[in-house]
Amino acid sequence: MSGHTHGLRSWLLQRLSGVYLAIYLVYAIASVLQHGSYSYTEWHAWLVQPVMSIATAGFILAMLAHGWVGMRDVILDYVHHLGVRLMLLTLVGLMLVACGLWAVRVLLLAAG
Amino acid sequence: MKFSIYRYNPEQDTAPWMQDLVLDDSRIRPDMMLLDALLLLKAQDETLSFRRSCGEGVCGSDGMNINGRNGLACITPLASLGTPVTVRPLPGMPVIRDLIVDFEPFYRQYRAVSPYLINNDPVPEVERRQSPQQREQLDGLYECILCACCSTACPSFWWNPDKFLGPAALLQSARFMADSRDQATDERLAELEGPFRLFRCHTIMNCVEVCPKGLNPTRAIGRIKELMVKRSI
Repeated sequence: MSGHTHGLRSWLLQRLSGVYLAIYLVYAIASVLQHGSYSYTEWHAWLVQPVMSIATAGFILAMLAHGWVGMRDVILDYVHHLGVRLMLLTLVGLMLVACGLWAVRVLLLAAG
Repeated sequence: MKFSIYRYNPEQDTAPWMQDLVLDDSRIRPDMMLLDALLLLKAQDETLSFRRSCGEGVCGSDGMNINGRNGLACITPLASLGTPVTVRPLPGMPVIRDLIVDFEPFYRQYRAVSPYLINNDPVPEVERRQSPQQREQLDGLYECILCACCSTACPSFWWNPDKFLGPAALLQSARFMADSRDQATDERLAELEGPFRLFRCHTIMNCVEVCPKGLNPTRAIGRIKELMVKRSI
């Protein structure tokens, strides 16, 4: 837990992923609003454009990283018992990895 | 004027309690500060204990929690306070008695940032000179009086007072990094790495809100982060 390089690196990761999340979300919401209503095929076509697929994969990665640093911060702040802290960090890590794998599966299925 | 004051004498009391005290309005002058009122109340009940020294916001002895906000009693006008005036010790610190807290957790973090000039050059015959521009870099950093109002208002310091340095100590660290005569910026930055010492700061900015000298520890912490990023790339 004392990894001396993990302060700045995590903080930077949180900031940079936050910027990416903000840009992606603004773009995605704007493009959805602009289009009005989507049918499944239109929605599918929008998502499987190569640029959009890559951007979405990046979004998922950024969200996982952002979520990890944020949850780790909350746990480091409030959970002082080392065993409990380790257990919670492991649980959060596993949950995020599972979410990530699930998201990858969804993307791959969508891409056909 | 009504007061509600935190009382705790570990030798007699099993738990802290709030004492209601009344100061006769005839004794209150319009320009009175809270410290003046506390001194009058102490004359009524001599067991009431608090620290004070200069009485003009320079020494930093009488930091306390006033109506839920940390501040110096000697420069807090009575007229600015709603009644009953609730006075408690600085939050999160071990209470020695009444409004007197043990500053050791605060000083330990202060000592941890080596709050002094580190310069390995031979001592010059005259003082180590600075240009006016170099001196200006210290403005907003050197004025800290170590009253602990900021660190004890910081939730991150409440949760991890042993690991997180707190706004006051980090402001001092930034003060010496900004000093043109100091040669230990790299060592100072290396000392602050890790998830706790600096990075428990979540820019809550309670420190800025309460600082009786109007300083901005959050900005100082931001400068330290900037230096860290520059150093790492």
